[in-house]
Amino acid sequence: MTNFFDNKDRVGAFLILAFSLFYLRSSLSIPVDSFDAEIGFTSKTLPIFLGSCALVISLLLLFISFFQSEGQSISKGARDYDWKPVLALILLMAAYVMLFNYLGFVLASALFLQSAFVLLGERRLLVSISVSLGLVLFLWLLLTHVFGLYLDGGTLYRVFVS
Amino acid sequence: MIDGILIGLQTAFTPINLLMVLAGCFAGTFIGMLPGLGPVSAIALMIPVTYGLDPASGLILISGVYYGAVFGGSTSAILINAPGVSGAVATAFDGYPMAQSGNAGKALAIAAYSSFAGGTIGAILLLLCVPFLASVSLSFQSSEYFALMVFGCTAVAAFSGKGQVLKAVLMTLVGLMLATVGEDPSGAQRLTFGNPELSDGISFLLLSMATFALAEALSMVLKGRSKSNDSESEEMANVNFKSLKLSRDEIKEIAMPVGRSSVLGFLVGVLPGAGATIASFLGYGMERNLASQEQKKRFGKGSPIGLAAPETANNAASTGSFVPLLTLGIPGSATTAIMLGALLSYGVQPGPRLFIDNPAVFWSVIVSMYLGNIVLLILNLPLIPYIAKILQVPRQFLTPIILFLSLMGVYLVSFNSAELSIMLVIGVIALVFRILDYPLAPMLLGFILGGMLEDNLRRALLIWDGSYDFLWQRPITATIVMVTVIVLLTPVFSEIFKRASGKR
Repeated sequence: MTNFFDNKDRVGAFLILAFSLFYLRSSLSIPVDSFDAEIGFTSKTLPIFLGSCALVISLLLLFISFFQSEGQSISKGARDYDWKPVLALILLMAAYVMLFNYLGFVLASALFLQSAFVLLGERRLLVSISVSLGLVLFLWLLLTHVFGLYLDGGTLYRVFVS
Repeated sequence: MIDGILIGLQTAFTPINLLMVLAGCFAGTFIGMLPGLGPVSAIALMIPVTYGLDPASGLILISGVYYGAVFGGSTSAILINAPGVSGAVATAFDGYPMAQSGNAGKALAIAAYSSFAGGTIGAILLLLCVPFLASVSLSFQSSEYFALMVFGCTAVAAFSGKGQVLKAVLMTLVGLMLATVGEDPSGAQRLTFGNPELSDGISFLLLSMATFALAEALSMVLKGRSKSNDSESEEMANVNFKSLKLSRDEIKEIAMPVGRSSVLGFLVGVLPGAGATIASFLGYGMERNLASQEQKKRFGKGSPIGLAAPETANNAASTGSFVPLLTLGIPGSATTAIMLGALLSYGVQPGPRLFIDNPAVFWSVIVSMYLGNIVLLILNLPLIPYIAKILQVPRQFLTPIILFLSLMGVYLVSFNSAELSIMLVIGVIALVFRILDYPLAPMLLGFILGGMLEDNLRRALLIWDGSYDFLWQRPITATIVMVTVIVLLTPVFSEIFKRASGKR
């Protein structure tokens, strides 16, 4: 079983196969307009066609992957990968997205940038704080005062102001 | 016609208008470099500024902003692999690898020269063929557009290396599938799973930022290239005026592709709805198909032709898109739609009568567009060494800044933080497929063409009472279908032929 998933083409094809099945199943339940049915082209015609094609091709790719003499090993390449900072960055971005409305553009963005700088190894605090705050404030000024765009101050800001 | 051109030239060369085009190009380049703020946003942001100006000056400022933003978009695609606009996606395929291999200056210079060449040839074609092309573009119906979109999908072959064809086709299908999410051409909701965020479909910017910028930045960290290697970044950003110079061989190599892509880009641009993005993909695909085996191997790894072709086609198409706008009053793209709004706000009514009733306005728009192109070359070439310094920013700063700007780019278009969650999910999936060596560009191509493909197929079927006879009964459609079949089958037959001759 371990070997089954140690092939790039196979895992990719397997993922798309799963997606195609889900997509095809959802496409079959798209409601149909009676007028569209008359011309033989409804809201679900193209999705069903595309889902079926993707299903066939992913199966074909999956089938071919078993006959590859040189399987593209995932484990070989993954050994050199730096997984920890990537996972940490993804979690950081998720936190940024979740806190964006609460903390507002300036605070959430400055915190995100500062944390990411530190995470990627920047140890000069004064430099990193200046860059994160400087960039965010510059963008905020540019967007709100020059281009006249509205950027939400966030729930926290409104709590303090009111 | 000569009188009209002279009036246009006279208007464009007044000191105030020259200043406008300079300011426009500078502002446009700056705005275009920010992911998410492409030519459409740049022009939209500038329209209120132009209200106080006379129509000619306002249009000249907008033209400058337009060309500046297009160039700015290419700059961020080349330097940080963040194509903020769809037209710059194909530029990133070879522009970014070229910058990564220490030729950032040359890549930016090729982009600038190619854009200029595309704009120049486009402008010449515009001068020569405006009345004729207007009637041709009118003869294009839904069936022709559908065939053209299918032909666009064949460009997928251009992104597939050895043994990658099936994967590229599969990724194109994934892109086409993603394009079906949201409102269908009849206005009904589908595949949204009751999620209001998906009711308008997935935005192109979100998908391109997630698959290119976000996944690229995460991939840099994954491969341990997140920490700054001083000598490497210095080498990449070490751009001086000498490194912007192209050798005679390089000029020779890109000259023909630039010529061909200009004509192709212009013709695609003339068709309303086709636009610069499809032109850039078709330009890239055409040149890859025409390239020698040796040149073909360099595509996707920093090929000058792979960079010059989409850049030229993109700019020539931008010029071509003014044909339906000015002669028919039909905006062929989002950018020209905004331009149409600006023209109307000045009291200028584009359409078939504009050419006859108001030749001065017609020609001053064309002359000012071209002037924007020239100014951009003069203004931006000397700035390239300084722009390339972006690459010297330490990676521990650059990577988070790319992530932040990509997220902001998407947020600034929708002002909806829920879209950021979708973007993050797509970014992570894109990273997985990058690790698995599945090409992501075909997915984007499928996504871009998907909506238009379905829309035109549906309309064609409506006109033809549900019959598919239009595929062979309409001469233009049949020709495009035939060319598509030839393009698809040529590699198959050439492979069979090669094997057969090898056996002998």
